[in-house]
Amino acid sequence: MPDWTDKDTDKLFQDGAEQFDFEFNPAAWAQMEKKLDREKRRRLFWWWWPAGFGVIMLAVIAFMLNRKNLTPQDSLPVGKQSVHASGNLPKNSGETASPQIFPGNQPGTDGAIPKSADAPSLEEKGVLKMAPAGKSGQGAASSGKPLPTATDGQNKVKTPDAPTPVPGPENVGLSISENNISVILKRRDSLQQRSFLPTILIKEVLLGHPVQPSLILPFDNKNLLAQNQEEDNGLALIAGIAAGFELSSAGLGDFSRLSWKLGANLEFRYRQRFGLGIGANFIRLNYDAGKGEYIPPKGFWTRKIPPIASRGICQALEIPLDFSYYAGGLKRSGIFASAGLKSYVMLAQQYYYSYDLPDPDLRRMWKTGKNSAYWFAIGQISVGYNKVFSKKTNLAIASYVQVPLSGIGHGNVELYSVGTQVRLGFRLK
Amino acid sequence: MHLLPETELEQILSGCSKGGRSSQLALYKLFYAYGMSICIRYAESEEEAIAVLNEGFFRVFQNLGKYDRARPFKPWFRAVVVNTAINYVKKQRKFKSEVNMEEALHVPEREDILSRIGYKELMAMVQSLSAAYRTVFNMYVIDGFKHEEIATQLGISVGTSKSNLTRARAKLQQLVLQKIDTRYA
Repeated sequence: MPDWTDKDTDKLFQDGAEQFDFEFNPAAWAQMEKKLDREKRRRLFWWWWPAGFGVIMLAVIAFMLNRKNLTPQDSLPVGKQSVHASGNLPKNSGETASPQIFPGNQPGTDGAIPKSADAPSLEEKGVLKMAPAGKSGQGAASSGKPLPTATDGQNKVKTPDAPTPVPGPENVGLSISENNISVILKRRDSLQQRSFLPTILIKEVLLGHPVQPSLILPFDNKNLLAQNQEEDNGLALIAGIAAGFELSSAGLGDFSRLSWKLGANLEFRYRQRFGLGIGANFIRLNYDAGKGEYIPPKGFWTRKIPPIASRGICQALEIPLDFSYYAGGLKRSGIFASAGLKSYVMLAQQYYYSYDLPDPDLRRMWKTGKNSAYWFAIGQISVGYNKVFSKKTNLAIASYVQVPLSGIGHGNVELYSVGTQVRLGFRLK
Repeated sequence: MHLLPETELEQILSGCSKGGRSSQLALYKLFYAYGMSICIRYAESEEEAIAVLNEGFFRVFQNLGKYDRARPFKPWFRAVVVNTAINYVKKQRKFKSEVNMEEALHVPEREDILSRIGYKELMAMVQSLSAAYRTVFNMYVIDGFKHEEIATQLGISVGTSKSNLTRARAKLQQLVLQKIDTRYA
């Protein structure tokens, strides 16, 4: 027709496009709700995980502050104790050193070592002379501050001349050699103080200075020495059984599926606090994967049409390899942190696929019982609390986050998880 | 879509901003038909159109904070849904293909056509076009994009856009004619 133009065609379809009368479709809304729910869960995860991590970090900080704010007799961290107590004496015999044993004046003291019958002062004993106030180059004394005292207010410092006390937790002592002044407070305290994390990390790990050797134990207390040495350098072997659950997701989309695991592990402890563990857990993985997050071998999808969502239900052997640090060591309860790698041996895999299209030819399910291994596929960090019940048993509970280092399973899925694990440990050696 | 007092729409939008599910449902019901009329033109089937529409609604819910309440909601909604539909087509990567077609022979008077063919049939014709023709036709004729914008959005040349539009029009004219001929033969 001569008068039929492009504009006519456009107008025809523009008019047609305006005349819509689609009825509300409840099935469409159901799909929409699923989408919204998934997003809600994803957001919840991103709130929950930092919040949970924040709570743990607050607990750690509170723990640290609590260590610092103990009463004076409990509050000397080993770092300070060793630095001050074991400082070298000047070679120059004309100069006398200030025995900077305690960082400040204590109640009931006047800056001088008490002259009591129980604990004669170092000056009186002629063992140690106090530097005169205002003398330069002598730390606290030089700054005009009251001289520190060798007492904690309750326990009197004893010199090597003093009567040998009964060995036990209340032992207090001072050892002076030509180049070294060392002090020991209550043995209980020294053990407590050694769990002060930053000090220990700096001295033992970064500087390579062992803490305990600077504490020279007085009075030939061989039992005490042996115990401390064992705690410092002794190796330990701890076997454990573990159980846990986690929320997993391929990608960071939907953490609504719960997985669980059950297993055993073996941990070698070095210097009480450092642990290297290996384990084997049977895990039932349960997760959702969104579009494009499940990547099977080429040619798997019918007519190359991928699903909009996949669900995985797998049974696997999980092999964790962890390095841990226990603030409380072997004998005391305390927080711990670990990091490690996990490998997976898939024992059985089953997957379900969902599509937008009602095409009956599309692949809806796939499963296999064939084993496949994925080494060091997942990295993990965890923080938790280790409760020591006795010399032989402990219970550790930890929250962890896992991030993928490579894909696992038939769908080469990058699996993220957040979870909690409980481990009951038995010291074998 | 029935007319709704502005205040009621405001309440619904406020509820949606807070994530209220009942408000989201109310908005969904209110704009479902309108949204579908847009999506159906870009999709090949109703199921596909629903998926596109839901993605569009999802973006609307996510980005309500960016909507300027001083302006009418409907154009903003339309822009979001159209962009969602275009993105969907881009992801399908079908818009670059071009299919040879025969030129339309003749077309009857336009004023008669709408009385003879329902708009659903017209939309079905649009859907029957190849993705390349359909997308350009929709963007240019119905949604008012210019060829330069279409070329930028789809990553094709302006010439391809114009060529696809011409062929889409010709194909649609042919289909309209065939429909009329079949019905009144």
